[in-house]
Amino acid sequence: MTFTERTTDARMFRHWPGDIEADYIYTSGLAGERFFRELRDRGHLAGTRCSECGKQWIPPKLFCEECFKETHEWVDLPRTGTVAATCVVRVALDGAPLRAPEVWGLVRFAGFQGGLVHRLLVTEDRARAGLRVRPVLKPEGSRSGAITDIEGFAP
Amino acid sequence: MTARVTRWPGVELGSKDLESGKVTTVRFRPEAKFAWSAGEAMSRFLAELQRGRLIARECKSCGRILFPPRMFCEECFRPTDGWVYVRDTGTIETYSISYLDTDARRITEPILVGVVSLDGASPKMGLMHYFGEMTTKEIRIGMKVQAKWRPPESRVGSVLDIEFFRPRKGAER
Amino acid sequence: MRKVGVVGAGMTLFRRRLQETGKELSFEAARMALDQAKMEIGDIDAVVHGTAPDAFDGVHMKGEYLLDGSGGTRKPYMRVFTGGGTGVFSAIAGYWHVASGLADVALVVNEEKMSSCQPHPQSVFAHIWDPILDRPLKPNLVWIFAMEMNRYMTIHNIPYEDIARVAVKNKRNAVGHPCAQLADGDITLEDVMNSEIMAWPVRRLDISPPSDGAAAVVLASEDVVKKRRLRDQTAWIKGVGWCIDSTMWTDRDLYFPEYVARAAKMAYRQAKIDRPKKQIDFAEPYDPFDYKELHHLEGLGLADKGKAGLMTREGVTERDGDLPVCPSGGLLGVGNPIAATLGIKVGELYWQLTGQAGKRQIPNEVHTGVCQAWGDLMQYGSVVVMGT
Repeated sequence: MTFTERTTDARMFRHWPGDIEADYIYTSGLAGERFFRELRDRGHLAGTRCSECGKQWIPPKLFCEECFKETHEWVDLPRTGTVAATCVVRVALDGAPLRAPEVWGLVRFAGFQGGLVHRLLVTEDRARAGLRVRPVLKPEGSRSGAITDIEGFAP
Repeated sequence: MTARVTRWPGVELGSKDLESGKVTTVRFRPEAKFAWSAGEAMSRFLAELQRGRLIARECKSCGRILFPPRMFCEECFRPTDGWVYVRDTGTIETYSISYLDTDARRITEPILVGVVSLDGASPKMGLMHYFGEMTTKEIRIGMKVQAKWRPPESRVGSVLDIEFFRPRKGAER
Repeated sequence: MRKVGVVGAGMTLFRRRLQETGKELSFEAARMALDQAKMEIGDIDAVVHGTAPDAFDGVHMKGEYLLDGSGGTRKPYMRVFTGGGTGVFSAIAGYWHVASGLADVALVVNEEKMSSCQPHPQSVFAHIWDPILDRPLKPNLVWIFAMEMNRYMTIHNIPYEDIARVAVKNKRNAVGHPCAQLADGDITLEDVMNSEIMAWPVRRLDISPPSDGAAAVVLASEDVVKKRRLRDQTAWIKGVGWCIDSTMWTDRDLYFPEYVARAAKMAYRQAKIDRPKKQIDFAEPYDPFDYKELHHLEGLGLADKGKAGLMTREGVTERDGDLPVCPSGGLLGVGNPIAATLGIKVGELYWQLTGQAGKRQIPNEVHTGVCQAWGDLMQYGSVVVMGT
């Protein structure tokens, strides 16, 4: 049995508009701090290695997901990675069309679990899985210790 | 075992550390806009406020007059049966004298706010609202109060169509 | 239902701001609990993660985000949330897994990283209010606690001094807690009673701070305890209860937490406790405000209505008293990272009952304790009774 009365004229319904205000600062964490400092200050990428099972992780993790033990070793990423998957984006977050399509991809690195999602600095017609790519970094003065210190990945 | 633990995990940061760039951070401000549906009961509640009246719903099963109004009785768990007007007079059930505004900033003139139970509704059926025309020394639990309405042309269909509740004239203060 | 014991616990420091990500905090607490229980992640059959709204950490679908730090990767996993009640409720959800026989060992991990929220977690708390009835009044969350405290004090005629005394007791107790954020061995009643008024009758030192932190416990079945010879480090869960009242808080008389009384009744019945004042040796009620310790002691049936303040006055609730309350230092002394209070409620019961509480160990022998948490818009009560 449902409500005994029900308004059927939708114009009688009221709405209350509002927004959820919130503002955030995210720390990189213990593993992330080292990863982003290396990126910002020395322009290179590194992951962590679990001394129990030998698995290597990118992005670097404080703990091995498999063994659930703290990782202590840091390992440089190989200079190139391989694109595992791509997508071409034509629409912004708010639904408005982009002036030029953006190419995004998941880049994997030999010997590492995981990968990095980032811009692929290729034209749409060249975007494909299997491409060998290397990171292109922003100039040293423009880096802040964030994933955007990487401009993108290029062949 | 635990009594012998020497290093408890956690790396503390000070209040300036985030702003000063001592550690790497990312900022983000989500955009989340909403239009909450007032629904069946609250749409009528807001419309009545605009007309300068307070409305409740009756549950014939438990006999309660429910305020604010709702289309189902949460105790009997059945639809409520009809609309009932309640008066705009009532009693202060509890209150606070706030020196904080909504953003937790300190204010010098305190805000008097609390819960008013309304005459005509079942006991303790209340509404949170401001209190006015009384001092911080005068306000007390049990005080009889009455709504001060905004002029009809200023009402929009909101709980703020009532400016505040003030001591009821003629009633024992 | 099977008998379930807590066999290990862990927690991080509680601080206003920790550097670790939520995942890292979860890992640190979970790893410590596993080490205490002498187990590895492969020994865990199911994981429960308790954490407050996504809006605090600022990560949507926070339960999914935190799962790898909680040891939940590729395991049966659930995220639970019951407002401030989560600190005890997640252990209840973990209990279901083992008591039912669906799991032999469950890991419960709770995390909170409120420092992400700018300028203050207060801005997110604000969204708990009803958009139509409450938000237009631009309320501050402290208002409702002030209103509840006022009602409680006025109905029972309780002097503010009796309430402030709880803050002094707990902040002093917290000196013995290695993770404490606000321990203060020198704090006096005058300090609390003279602290600045936030929303009368609440003053600054009546309130616990927002905190970052994580905590974890390992729950095991009786068989596992026997096989692994963990009896000496086990505290058994004797009863669980939980209850929630209506969100229409303006329709309720706030002077007594009915929902806590009902949750306690449920837990006591299971634990075969019919005279809690006699049968409970110590308690960890939820104390985000000093008046709440008293309010909850009455809800838990450990004090008569309006009389809990007398117990603090007479020293009954000190660590060396007849009924130690918040020997951990509580939220007032250790901190309030919402769900991670698991560490000072369930965790404290565990450490006290197994003789591992170090400087905080209650001098009298304790065999049965009760912990309780409270949440949402003055609605939720979760209760766990534990014993040796």
